[in-house]
Amino acid sequence: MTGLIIGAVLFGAAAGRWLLPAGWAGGLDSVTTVSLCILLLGVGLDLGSRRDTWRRIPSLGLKALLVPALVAAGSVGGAAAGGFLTGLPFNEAGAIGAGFGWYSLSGVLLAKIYNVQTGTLAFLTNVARELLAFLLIPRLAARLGKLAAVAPGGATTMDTTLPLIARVTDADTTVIAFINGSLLSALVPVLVPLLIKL
Amino acid sequence: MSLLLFFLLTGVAVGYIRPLPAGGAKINQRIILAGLFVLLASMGAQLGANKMLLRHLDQMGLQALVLAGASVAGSVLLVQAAHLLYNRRRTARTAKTAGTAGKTVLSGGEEDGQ
Repeated sequence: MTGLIIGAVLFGAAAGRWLLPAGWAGGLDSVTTVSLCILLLGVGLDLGSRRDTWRRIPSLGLKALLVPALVAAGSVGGAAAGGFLTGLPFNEAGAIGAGFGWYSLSGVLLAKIYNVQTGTLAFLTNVARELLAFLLIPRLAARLGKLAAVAPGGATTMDTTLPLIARVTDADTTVIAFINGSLLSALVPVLVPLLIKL
Repeated sequence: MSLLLFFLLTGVAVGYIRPLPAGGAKINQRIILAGLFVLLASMGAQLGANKMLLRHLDQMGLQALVLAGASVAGSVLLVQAAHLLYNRRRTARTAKTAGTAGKTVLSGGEEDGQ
């Protein structure tokens, strides 16, 4: 899947560089707006249909909500600090951090509502975050504890990194990881546009 | 932005009220995937057409690594700090409860002695 996603970006880049004629940007803008609306409707349908996940939240108590809140704050704060080091304004670094590892959506959102350069940086940053998560989850689970192992994955803890978390932690932490990923995924389309407008 | 939020929230509301059946969920996944590929290819096309951006791709790679590392570090730090704080408070509370229980047992013994 990751290969296909990166392949789609590379295909587009090759087409933009060598195939597409000048003046195509206007038409492409309408296509991306319609695609983004359809994509977000589909993501919303998918998230809303997970009734069991939403209903499990009260039984797990505050921890289930506190972990995603802390991961969100830490991601945005950390990215803002990283942005300060690399000379990136707070709104751009914060919005990139609010991608929470969901590289495809955060990249296209920022490319559409802000600019292609920031969209590309969000894509690269969140691809790197997912790769880092795969490397760190087993080490954090062994050295710091189970909850710390949920943090690096961000929004990916409801899909791509969930099997790894399930393997190196326990059942309760796996449920928390799934809720963490679901809530952070729901926050990406809300926080990224909010932060970039600051 | 409001248009994007409208579509997202409509999807969440409709999905919650009428959850997708297994077949519908599969079709929905395919639609999401198709939309995603169109958007990614379009982002790639805009990147490919922008020569200045292509020239700075290596610098962006380094920036991306710093941002990703800092995001991960920030989240791990906050989660671990909260976890340690919670554990410390729980240990303190357990010790306090054990102390009170000990006192009750002791005072009960004294009463017995009298």
